[in-house]
Amino acid sequence: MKVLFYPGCSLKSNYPEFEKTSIEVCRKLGVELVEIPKWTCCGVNFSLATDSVMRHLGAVRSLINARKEMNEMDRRSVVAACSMCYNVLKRVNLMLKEDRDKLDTVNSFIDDEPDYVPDVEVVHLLTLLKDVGFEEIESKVVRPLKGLKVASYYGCALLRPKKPEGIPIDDPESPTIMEDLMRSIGAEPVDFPFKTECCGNYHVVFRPDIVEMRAEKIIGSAKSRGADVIVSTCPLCLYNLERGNEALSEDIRVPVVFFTQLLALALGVDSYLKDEVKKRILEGCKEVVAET
Amino acid sequence: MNELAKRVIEISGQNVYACYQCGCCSAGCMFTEKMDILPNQAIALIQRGDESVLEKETPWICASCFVCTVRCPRGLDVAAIMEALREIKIRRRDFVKVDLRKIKEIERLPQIAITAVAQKFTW
Repeated sequence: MKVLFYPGCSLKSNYPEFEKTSIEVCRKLGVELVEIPKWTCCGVNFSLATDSVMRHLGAVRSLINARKEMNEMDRRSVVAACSMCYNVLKRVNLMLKEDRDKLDTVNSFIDDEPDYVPDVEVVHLLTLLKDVGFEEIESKVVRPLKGLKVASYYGCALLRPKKPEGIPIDDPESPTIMEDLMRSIGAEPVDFPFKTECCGNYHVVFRPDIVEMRAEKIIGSAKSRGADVIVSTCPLCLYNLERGNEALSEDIRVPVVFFTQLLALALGVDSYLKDEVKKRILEGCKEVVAET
Repeated sequence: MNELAKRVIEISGQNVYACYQCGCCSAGCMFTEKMDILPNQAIALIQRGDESVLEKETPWICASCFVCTVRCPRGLDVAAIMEALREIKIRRRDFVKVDLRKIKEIERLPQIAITAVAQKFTW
């Protein structure tokens, strides 16, 4: 199955391991992620000012370029791995589906491209993997991560807001999609009450104290439930939680990795995990199958 | 309707008069310990046309996590109201909340964080 992929800036700059493992894991499952040609930055945060469309234009341009390739694909979807990209593209697309005036405004402004027709859907990689089937994933596992205690951290962008309908990829207050996925690769999900809380977002730039306050609570909670590792779907959450780890004493720290890196490890493709993190993860597994 | 409320409604699309001050937004907010007034208090000031709300830190501390929005029993997008308060200030072109040239350790920060803060805090 071929499906269009929106990598976003972070996967191309700071976190290539997220892109590489997303692509490799999907390939292993028979899904080819095809990068949208000429995609642009999504803007990271969906603008909440309803009287201006300017801040949505980056996302619209990417959706226009995606649409040009859509006939070559096996589903009319744009897949994002980064939570923030998912949220912005999803919301912009839903807004243009629902608001004809805004669609007209956007189309008359972007005069160097064909008009956007919102007949595609934006999905997160987790949803795509659920569509492939967690049982199917389970059947492809070569190294089950047995006994590894994984805290699935969702953050905000996969789950909120609730309206317009379709934004949350799962129950916004009590999601389980990532835990179900972790179970399919043999890991043991641990529930923790801070899994849908905010990491502090962009405050890391000018108010790192806010991010440290949030990260300490989130990591401390995961640790108290016995987590060996925290999995994230968001480059900014991952960065912020790692900043929190730095502020914590060593015995409380919990390594944070992209969910696709654990999938890669279980499916037998390169996980791009740092050596010390990989060692710690493998120590968490009760049954270690020797092989990379 | 006062001018401030009118402007907030224009930008956010939210009827600030629907708020009945139950405080659910503030109870769920995970940033209140860093704020100078609570989110529901900010809405009360808007309802009264009290422009001192524009000088508070609260709208700038809000990180748009949408917990308040999801839980508001009146269906208000509280995060959008906070964004409107920021926008009113940002759209005054001489206003500078943050100076992007003064970011510390910029080479250490991921691009996503810098773009996000620029998107939220600058025109």
